[in-house]
Amino acid sequence: MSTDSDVITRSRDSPRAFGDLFHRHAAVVHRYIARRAGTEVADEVMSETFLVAFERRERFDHTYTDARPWLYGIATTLLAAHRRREARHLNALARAAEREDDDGGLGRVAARADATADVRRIAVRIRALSEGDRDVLLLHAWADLTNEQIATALNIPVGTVRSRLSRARKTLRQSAAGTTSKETDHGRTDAAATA
Amino acid sequence: MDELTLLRRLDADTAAPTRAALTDAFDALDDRMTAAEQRGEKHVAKRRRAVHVRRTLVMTLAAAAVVVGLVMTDTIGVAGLRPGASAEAAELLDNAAVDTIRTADPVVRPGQYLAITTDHVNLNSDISGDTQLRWLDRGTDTTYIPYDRHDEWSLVRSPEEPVDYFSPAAKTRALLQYASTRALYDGKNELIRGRDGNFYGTPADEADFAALPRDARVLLNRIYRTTLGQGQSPDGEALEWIAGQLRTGIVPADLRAAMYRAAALIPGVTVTEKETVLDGRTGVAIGRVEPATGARVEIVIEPQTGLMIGERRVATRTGYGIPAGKVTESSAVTVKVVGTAPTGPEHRVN
Repeated sequence: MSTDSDVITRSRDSPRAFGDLFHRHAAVVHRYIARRAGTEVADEVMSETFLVAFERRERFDHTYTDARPWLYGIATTLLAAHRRREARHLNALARAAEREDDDGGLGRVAARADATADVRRIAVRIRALSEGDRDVLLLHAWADLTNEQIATALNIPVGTVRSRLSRARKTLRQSAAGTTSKETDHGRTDAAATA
Repeated sequence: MDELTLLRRLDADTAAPTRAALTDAFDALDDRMTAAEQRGEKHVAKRRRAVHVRRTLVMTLAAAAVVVGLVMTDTIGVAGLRPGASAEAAELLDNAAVDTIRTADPVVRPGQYLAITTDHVNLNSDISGDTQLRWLDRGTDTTYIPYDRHDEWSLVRSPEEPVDYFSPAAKTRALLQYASTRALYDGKNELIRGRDGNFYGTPADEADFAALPRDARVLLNRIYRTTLGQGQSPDGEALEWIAGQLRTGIVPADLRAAMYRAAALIPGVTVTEKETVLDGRTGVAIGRVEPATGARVEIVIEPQTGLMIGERRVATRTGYGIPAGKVTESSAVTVKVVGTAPTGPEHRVN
């Protein structure tokens, strides 16, 4: 089978050949965006990703055979315009995890509630990460890219990928090990008490 | 279970794209490929070495070229070199800048709080078989910021309630979701507290207003640099950045004035509606259409005070079941000084 690089090369003279790239990768690109920002944003951004990629096909670096990092990089850039919707999607995920707690079946409720509470905290934590850290972390965890591929996708040095990934994982680890603050009453501050 | 395993579990059952979404996306690409084929577009060998995709790739070539020149300083840039907002919009923004300087900023004394209320409408969606269901939700958030910003802040959030639907099926789904949301809220608003505005694990991340330039051209160059590579276009992103800062409700008057004057330097900005009502207040809408998406981003300014009432996003093209002209997102901001913050235990809904 021809590589992605071959397809892109062919599409320079036969533009319609680029359709192959769509059929190969549209679904996974969509899934990555949908996980981050919901299906509505994914419909829009996935479509736009391939339009941008097509227009920029001459800029593809043919030292790589796999076009996925390139496509994920474009999608990640386009996703930046939907930060608010991404935040809302993460809120919804956290709430959905909460609902799973409430709907728990008999017998395994406690164990599952612990696990879903952890997942919920993770959703809250992702929302708190800086954009740069979040991009690296989610390309690693949800798009299964290697550090080198993430560096290509985001056009940053691989050392930066490592440090961002390490920082993001540390933040998530803290949340996975942490306790939920749902039941915590922080009480009132002195300032409020005297207000 | 380690953090990556947990993360991979999160939303692991995300649905595959619908046939309709794939078809629509492929059709759009196919149009583009066919047009290129018909033009007989051939590859012209480039001598330059292949370059990696940069974050600027979604900008138009011209705009990208313009912004690349800005990377070095705020004082040397393109702000003001290209034709900016329409004359009408520029005059209105300039008047607003003059008026807003005269409007005193709220002063918070020890024991008091700055209460910033945002009434917002957002586009929500869900999927049913191959059909995307879309509707608008409305909610209200109020942030209470204490006199000493390192003290404890409070955030009160209402459940988001569906208010407008783009199909009967969307209405059914929206009301169903709302019922379960209300159950989670348990008849109360969400109440979250955190020192330094740290509600979700990181402190409030505000721009350093004191450090931002007050000269409109210098400020706009700074904004272009700050937002370089983000969004659909540098000009669109610059306007979004300004709207985002104004939305915080805490931009000081002199900087607010500079932001209006900076907005007047952004190409494509026009008066989009001379009289518009947002949150019961009447203002003038100034906005810019983003050619790539057809979305028009607007800020709505109260003419008497030069204060921003809020911002809106309007669809200018029919698509995704949403008619042209529909306001798909809006937020209205009110700021006041209050003597107390909400009491009682936290109530987190997430």
